[in-house]
Amino acid sequence: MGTIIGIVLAAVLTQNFITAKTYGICPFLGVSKKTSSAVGMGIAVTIVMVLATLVTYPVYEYVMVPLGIDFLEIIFFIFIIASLVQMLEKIIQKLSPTLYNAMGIYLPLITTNCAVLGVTELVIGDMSSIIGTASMNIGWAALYALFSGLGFMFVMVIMSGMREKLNCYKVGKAIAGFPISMITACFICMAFMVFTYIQV
Amino acid sequence: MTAKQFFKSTAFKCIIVLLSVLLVCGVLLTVAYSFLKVTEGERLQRAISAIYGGEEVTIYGDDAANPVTADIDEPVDLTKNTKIAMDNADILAAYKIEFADGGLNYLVQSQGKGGFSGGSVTCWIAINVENGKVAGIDKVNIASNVNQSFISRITDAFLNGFTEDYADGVKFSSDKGSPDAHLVSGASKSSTAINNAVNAAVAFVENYLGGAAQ
Amino acid sequence: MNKYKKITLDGLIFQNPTFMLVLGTCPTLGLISSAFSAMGMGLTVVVILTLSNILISALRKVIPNEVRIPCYIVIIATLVTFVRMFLEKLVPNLYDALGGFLVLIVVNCIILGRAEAFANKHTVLESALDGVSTGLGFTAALTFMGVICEVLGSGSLFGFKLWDGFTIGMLATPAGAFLVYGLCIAGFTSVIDAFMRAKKVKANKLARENLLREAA
Repeated sequence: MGTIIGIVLAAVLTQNFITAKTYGICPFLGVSKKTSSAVGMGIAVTIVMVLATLVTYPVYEYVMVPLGIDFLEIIFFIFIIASLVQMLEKIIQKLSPTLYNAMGIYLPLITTNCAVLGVTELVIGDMSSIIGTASMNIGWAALYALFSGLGFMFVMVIMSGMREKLNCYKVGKAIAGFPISMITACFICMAFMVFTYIQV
Repeated sequence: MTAKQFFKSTAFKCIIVLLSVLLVCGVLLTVAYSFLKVTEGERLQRAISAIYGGEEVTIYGDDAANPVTADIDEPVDLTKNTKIAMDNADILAAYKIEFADGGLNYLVQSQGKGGFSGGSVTCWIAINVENGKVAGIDKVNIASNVNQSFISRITDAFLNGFTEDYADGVKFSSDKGSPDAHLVSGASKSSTAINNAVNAAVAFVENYLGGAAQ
Repeated sequence: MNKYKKITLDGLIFQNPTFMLVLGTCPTLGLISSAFSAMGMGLTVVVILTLSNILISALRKVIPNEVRIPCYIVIIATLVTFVRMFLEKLVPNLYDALGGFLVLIVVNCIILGRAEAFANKHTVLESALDGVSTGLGFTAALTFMGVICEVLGSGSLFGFKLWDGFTIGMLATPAGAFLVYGLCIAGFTSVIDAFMRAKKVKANKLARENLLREAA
């Protein structure tokens, strides 16, 4: 139970992908103009992160390490992620055209999203500061991926809400666009710094 | 589609090109890996040269009564390659080091918890041992950290403080009110993690020496 | 010769990947809290980008259009794996400083973006020049912000202590990185805008003078 709480708190609040690790900033700045698109992107990223971790973790642990080819991890992981995204796109297109219309446009962007490759790399690395003394297994890996994705979505939704509000105001020409988005993100990060004092 | 058509189609060409690119890359990387592989021994060697400079040291095996010089490529880890959980820290590795002049050190890699943002700091700690007892801390080096935004504020003076302030039974703490307070203000969380790592390393060596004497 | 000058200036200034195109934001924000890691990241990207541009440009006639993206990704991933091994073996300080962001160069938009937008349409020499100049533009931007963040956030520069006492702690965290990055983009684009406007005004003035002279 303690491990689960530790994972949830770390993935969503203290070591949030956007505010603490700065992974996945491209979609965070690019697709956060509207709350609806932020939610769509967030869900798509979460699904791909969980599926990718479910595939890459066993492949790394049970195939690549025993064979001694763990140095090829980057090629394997990026290939697995790219094929997963392609497959998911085709499956969603077949099963539910409405869902595809809502989410499909975000899927191709995910292949080059650092958050997905980042989570697959993190779970094969040193996770002891998050899971404590428990030994790492695929369940923890998937849980961490799931909550990292949800944490990512959480911050994206906050950001999109602030940007929607921001649209109602006139900002100076020099800081319109990316600069004001980054300054907004700075405030979100500062707010999240409060959570770094959580001790589990 | 006949077999002949298939071999002439674009799809076949695509598959061939993709597979050959993959194969060439894989082979090249395997060749590169055989040259650039970093062995455990090399990592240890780096830590040793960072801590002891050019001094000549011998790494001993875990059998204290019957020491055998360990091959540097496969150093003998006193923790037997398992992580040992202590209070607020994990001992990742420990080695027995002997100097040319007969001095004895235990080099412990310890990962201290409770850092900034729930992260940790991993340190190498060289512990001086005399007459089967911990006599002091020779050096503390930071090996790596997780999520420590303020780690650059940790000064050499702070790390040297462990050598200067060590006394029997000391428990380094980043609590300002504690008699053994030891911290860098502005990086108190990272200081906590390093203090935890050092305390655990000392406790590990004490336990280990105590166990070996029995 | 003018063509090469244009490629260089585009990469360094007018299409600077960090300030003008805002690509490769993750490593930028993650590493500018220290000037050393920011500069190291930049130089690593220069090497990988140049090599990937050269390779992709050399193979542009061989790789079929349908599988070009997977091929590019494999080539880039190979280069990143190689550079990672190289750094771990020979430059361990930099390897430690870059941390997880070293692997994430694979999905850095700058590299795939330059492969797609430039290298698969241009000659090897042009692609190499583009790689070097874009990479150096990235390095310069990162180092600039790294210096700001490290001096103000930690009171040191490239690891050397400058002073004790006065520091703005926030600038050492991602929050400060966002702030500095945002303000730097605003500053850089304003300067470029002003420069372009001045150039345009000058050109207009010249055209007007020519017209007047002709009329006279």
